[in-house]
Amino acid sequence: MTKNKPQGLVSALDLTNTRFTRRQMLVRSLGFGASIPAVAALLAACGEDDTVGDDPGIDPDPDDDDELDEPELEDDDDVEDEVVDEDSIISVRVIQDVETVDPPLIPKVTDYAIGHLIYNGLMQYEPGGVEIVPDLATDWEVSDDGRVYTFQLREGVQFHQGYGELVAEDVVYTYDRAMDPETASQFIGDMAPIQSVEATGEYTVEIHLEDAFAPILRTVIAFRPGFIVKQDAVEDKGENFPLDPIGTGPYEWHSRTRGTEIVVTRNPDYFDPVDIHTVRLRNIEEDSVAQLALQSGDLDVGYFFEPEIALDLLDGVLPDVDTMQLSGYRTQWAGFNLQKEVMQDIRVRQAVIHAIDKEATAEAVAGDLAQVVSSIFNPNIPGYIDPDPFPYDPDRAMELLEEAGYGDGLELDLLVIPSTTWPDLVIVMQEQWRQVGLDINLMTQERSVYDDLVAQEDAPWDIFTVNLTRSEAYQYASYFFSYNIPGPNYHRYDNPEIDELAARAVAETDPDLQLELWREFQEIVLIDDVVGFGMTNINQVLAWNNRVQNVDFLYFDCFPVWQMSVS
Amino acid sequence: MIIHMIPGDPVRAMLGDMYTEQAAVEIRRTLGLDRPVYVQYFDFMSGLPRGDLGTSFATRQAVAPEVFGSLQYTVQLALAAIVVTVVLGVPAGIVAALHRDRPLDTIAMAGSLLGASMPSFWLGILLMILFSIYLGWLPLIGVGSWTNPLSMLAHVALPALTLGIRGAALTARVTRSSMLEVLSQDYMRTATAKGLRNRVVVTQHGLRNAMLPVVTLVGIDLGQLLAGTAIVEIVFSRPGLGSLLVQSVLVRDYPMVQGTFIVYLTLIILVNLIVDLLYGRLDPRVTYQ
Repeated sequence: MTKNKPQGLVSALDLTNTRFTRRQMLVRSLGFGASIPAVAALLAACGEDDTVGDDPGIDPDPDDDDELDEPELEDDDDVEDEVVDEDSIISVRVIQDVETVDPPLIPKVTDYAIGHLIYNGLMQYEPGGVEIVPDLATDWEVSDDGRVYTFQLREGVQFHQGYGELVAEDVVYTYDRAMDPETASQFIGDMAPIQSVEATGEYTVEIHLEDAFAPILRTVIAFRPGFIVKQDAVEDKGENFPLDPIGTGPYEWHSRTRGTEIVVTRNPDYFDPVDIHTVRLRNIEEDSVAQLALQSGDLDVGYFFEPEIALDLLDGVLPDVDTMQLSGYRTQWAGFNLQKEVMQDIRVRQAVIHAIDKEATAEAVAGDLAQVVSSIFNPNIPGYIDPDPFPYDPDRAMELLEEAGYGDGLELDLLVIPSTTWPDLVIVMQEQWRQVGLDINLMTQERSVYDDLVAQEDAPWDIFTVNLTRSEAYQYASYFFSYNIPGPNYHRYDNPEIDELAARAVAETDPDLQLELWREFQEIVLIDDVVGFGMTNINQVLAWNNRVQNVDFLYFDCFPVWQMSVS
Repeated sequence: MIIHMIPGDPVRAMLGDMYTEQAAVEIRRTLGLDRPVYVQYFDFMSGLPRGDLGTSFATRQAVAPEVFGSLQYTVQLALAAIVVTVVLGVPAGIVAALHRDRPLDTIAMAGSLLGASMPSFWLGILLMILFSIYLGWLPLIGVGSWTNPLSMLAHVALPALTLGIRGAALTARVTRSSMLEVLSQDYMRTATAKGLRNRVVVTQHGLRNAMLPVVTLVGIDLGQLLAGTAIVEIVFSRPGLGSLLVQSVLVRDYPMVQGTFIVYLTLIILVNLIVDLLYGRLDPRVTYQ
């Protein structure tokens, strides 16, 4: 195809050759204008219905509707044309689109929040904290040597869509599947302590561990890979199972509108009847938009993370909205690269910490939401130690640097994790460090690059920052085990004594003794060896429309919708 | 291939602090990442003729349904934004040109400057506050339902306005300068001298000649809209190729990134083809052989 270029707009056109009369031009212009939305409508008509789900009974975006229809049930006898009152529908906030709700592959917070509604585990986190309480289990016990966990299952629990009753074999299948290398679960490391899972009765199951390992309750049994599935359902659904899951939970999967929302509806056969009929999990990534959604009624319940917005909500800027400030589980701490010669001098590490005014820094960045911490453990984790061994003391920091031979100043590289408030905190800290002669270069990278750099064998940074949400002391401690090099021990800290302490702690069945061991662990890591330092725990805010009752926090930004009701 | 060269490891992104060598090896094997890059590339290319864009690392499901599912929303938004761009931008440019150096020109160009300068994130929030919170005319977030076109149009209105205002600002400036150039031509004076009404001179003789650069700009704008709506999609909680691509790049989901790029390239080529064909309709001197 060749094209004769226009000779330029300056050249005169032969007006007599104009093809359209004015009227024709106007008509064609109107036609062209009208055709654009028409094309869009055509695309809409031709496009697949983007709502993925078994049942068309519920409009995935019922903004204009006052009522929702009850989805059809498997058993015709159970079908009722129940009209769902708007008061029985709530919208809760998630911050990303769903990826997969297949338990051993659940990757992130959104999928976990949905999983909590679809599935049950043998145990579960109790709303309001990180205590573990029975879920599908009615009774459980641990053997004296801590190696065998026996669970008695609740009888009569039904899987969704008529997939039958929960039995011990389902638990065995769930765990075997999650531990199968072919599943390629990211939890395979967490499940490594499990030797086997056996059904010793129709409703009795035993989990055998290689060695005693108390954290297994929180890291696996009450967590994502511990959600129980049914073999028939997994096989029937095949590759659709991750986005059309079957569980025993209080809500059944209804539909997904890509990038926008997930709808789940009440499980009519649930063993503990729930009040709210339909839950719309709406994907609202930005806090500012979520605040508007709360104001407009598009959202009923949500967590808020941006300090400015969270503080506004706490101050009551929105009428009819109740709030709760939570001492969350997001611990921000930093560690030293012990491979670097300069960081092998403990005086330098102490000086780095002494130079930071944690209180002022946290206050500047997050106001009342900031909780200064002294440990790398979360303050809500049993065993956390409080006294800060290296308080703000710039004179002492300068003395230590002088003693270490860096009286003329020292240049260090700090790897910044691009999440929560770390990018803001380090800007304030950089100035504090400068005042004692520490010239800190901030290496701010996007998350994947951070993940690469932090794990790099000859890491280019001297200090790295971490943002960690965990419920178990062991999970925080694992950043310091020598056998986690390479792995999360990015400090390259090699101390057999703390490996031994951790091994004793996880095998200890006496809770008090266990806590004592974790305290000792922290004292060695933080005070004796100064491998890292705690910075802040940023509280989060849960806000909800006050028509919703019994709202509470559930670990890892989930929602215990089953206990909520609408007034 | 290029995505493999940038720093970042999909397996490490997936495992995070649960990273262990054992888990990484298993996942790499399952996802086929233990194969040489050229083998992965040819594997991907061999699936293309069958419409197979591979399997996402993140969701472990086929890429094609996810990409095409998002595409329909992106096209919907881009077309609606172009309507806003043309409807607001072209008349504003014409009015400004016809009232050169007079208050209407100043107002139109100041508005254009403002529209071009406002970040779409901020503008989107402002429009939400005005139209959804205070006036309550339009829904705040979401996409509406395919079964209810009115609801769908209502949901696309604010994002389209957010994107369209910026495009309209640039279009108004180009239309104005193009019109000014045409208005000073001899044939325009001749048309006026023939006794034609001013409106006829402007619409029939002036506007059509001034439209070529505007069509070029709108074509480029449409291409950008198809590729760059991520921020608006995130603000308005809409699905789309932009946010899908951003999310996929962040977690190094190579198959999803590749699939999204293939669709983008096809769209950009299509838009350029349409613009080229439109030249021929607007300017009889442009012929295709």
